[in-house]
Amino acid sequence: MRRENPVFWYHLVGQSRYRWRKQRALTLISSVLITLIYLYLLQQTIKYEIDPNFVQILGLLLVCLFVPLGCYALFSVEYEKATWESLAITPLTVDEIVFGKWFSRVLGVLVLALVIAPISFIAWAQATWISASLIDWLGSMWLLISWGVLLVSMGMWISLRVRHSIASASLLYGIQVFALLFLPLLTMLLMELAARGVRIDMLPVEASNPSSLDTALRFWLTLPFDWRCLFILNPFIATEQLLTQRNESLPLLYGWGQGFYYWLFSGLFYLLTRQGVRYHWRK
Amino acid sequence: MLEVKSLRKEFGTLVAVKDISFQLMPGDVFGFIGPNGAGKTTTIKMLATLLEPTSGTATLNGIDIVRYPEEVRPLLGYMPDFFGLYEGITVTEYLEFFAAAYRIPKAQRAQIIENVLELTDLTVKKDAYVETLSRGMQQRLCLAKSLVHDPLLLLLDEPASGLDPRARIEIKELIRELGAMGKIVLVSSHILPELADFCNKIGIIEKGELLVWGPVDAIIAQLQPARVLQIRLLDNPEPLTTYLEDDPHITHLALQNGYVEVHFTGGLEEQAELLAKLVRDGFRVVSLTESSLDLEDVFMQITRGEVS
Repeated sequence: MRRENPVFWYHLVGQSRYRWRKQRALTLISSVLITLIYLYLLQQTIKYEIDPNFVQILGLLLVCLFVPLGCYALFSVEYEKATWESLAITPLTVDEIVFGKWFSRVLGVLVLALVIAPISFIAWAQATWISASLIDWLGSMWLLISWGVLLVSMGMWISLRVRHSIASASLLYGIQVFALLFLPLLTMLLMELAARGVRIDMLPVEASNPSSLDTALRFWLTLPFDWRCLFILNPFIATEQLLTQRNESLPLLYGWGQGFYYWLFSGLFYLLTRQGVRYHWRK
Repeated sequence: MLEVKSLRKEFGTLVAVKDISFQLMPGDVFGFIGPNGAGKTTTIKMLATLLEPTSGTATLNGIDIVRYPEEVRPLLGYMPDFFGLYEGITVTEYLEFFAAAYRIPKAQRAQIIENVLELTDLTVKKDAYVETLSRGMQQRLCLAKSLVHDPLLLLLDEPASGLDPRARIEIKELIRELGAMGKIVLVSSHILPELADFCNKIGIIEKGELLVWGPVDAIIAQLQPARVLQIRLLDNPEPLTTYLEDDPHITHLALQNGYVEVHFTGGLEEQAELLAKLVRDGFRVVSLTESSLDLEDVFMQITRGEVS
């Protein structure tokens, strides 16, 4: 028999149902306004041939800004509001609790991706000046979704560890700024200083045949051990390369590979959260 | 039946609970008394399967709480001393959440929720948002949540703390009713008159040690082998003290605020004779009353005011 997961449903619809009931007029007005702005953006994209790279980077920025808002308090609020004990002693399993919270937020990431996708797709379809194929565009969407999922898993784990919502949110945004902006900038600066004007290739791929299966396999497997992964696994840089560079200069499955790594890290954070709940909640 | 055997909890070098043991039967309302920091909450958390004991065990209906927490959880309801409620949902939705969490079939939920709302006197608030409820009502909602799955054991940690007098009385009545329903209720508190009204058994814990436990009457009888009688005269009571000095049934005698207090080892027959003798010998007796120990006296006699 399929079990009902109240944790999932509460996190999925709890707050929106509350907003709808308590602030119906405000919710309606804001929904209409957002829809109008969205349609206007869609119309502008069609009219002015917007750069798909710009749209996708903007989408990623939205993911980086909004996804943490949904997950920074997933567990910390249970401690702050002292609800975790009541939840812990129910017969709900650790998987039901962790998956329920996690999946409700992953659905949020998918909704965000669905909102971005039409504008991004139109921009890509109209951009005759770029060589990115449909697979590349899909790869960039996969990258965006995977990054969102990674943020959800990481946010969930941080909120369990720090047990304090404000600290959890600060950490989540701080890590993003550090990993996506500060660290690449610092590394680039140091490398520039060390190379003394010699150009550094940011893609550790043999220039001769980057799209061969052998090269690609070697590239993706050795990536975590190469300092350049700081750039290649950066979703903004990866998206930019994917949608602007010529396909043949990028390794096979570029974009999809990064997404795979994000899912891997995401799985790691998910498992850490699961173990944490198992241990602390005696599940 | 709840059977606790040598339950112990250590936090590093601190021994929070020292090998405590007691047994409770269905229908028992057990008052767990102790000063702040005595180990009440730690014990309750161990029984609620939230804390793993360092050693010892506890069984509920024969199921080991320590080894099989998942099997025991459907049998227990727990109301923490500091509790919170999920916000943004109504009272009914809150109870539905926990009914679903306790795997109660959808078809039965509405009836069960109606019953617990009625029991906790929250029916009128069933559509109210939980955050709009008063502290007392939230306390009752938390209790209602603990009852949706009809648990055998109810662990209530300071259930009446922070409540106004009316809400306290309502909670007390509710706990008494739960005991009458055949549940094992373990209530912790340091407000003794609160417990005296509805507990049939008590346990006094201090510095992690369960100093005494058992039926309230038995503990009082144990602490007070002689009955305490207060004799009030119309005249000066001083001559009475001299008169009673030689009575074989009197072990202790004191003059207090216009009456004489004696510790009397005799039975009711001897008590009646004493009264007749006093009247016969010219003492103008206004009253002869028996005073018994209350929980506060018991607590003060047993504890030393130490925390673990």
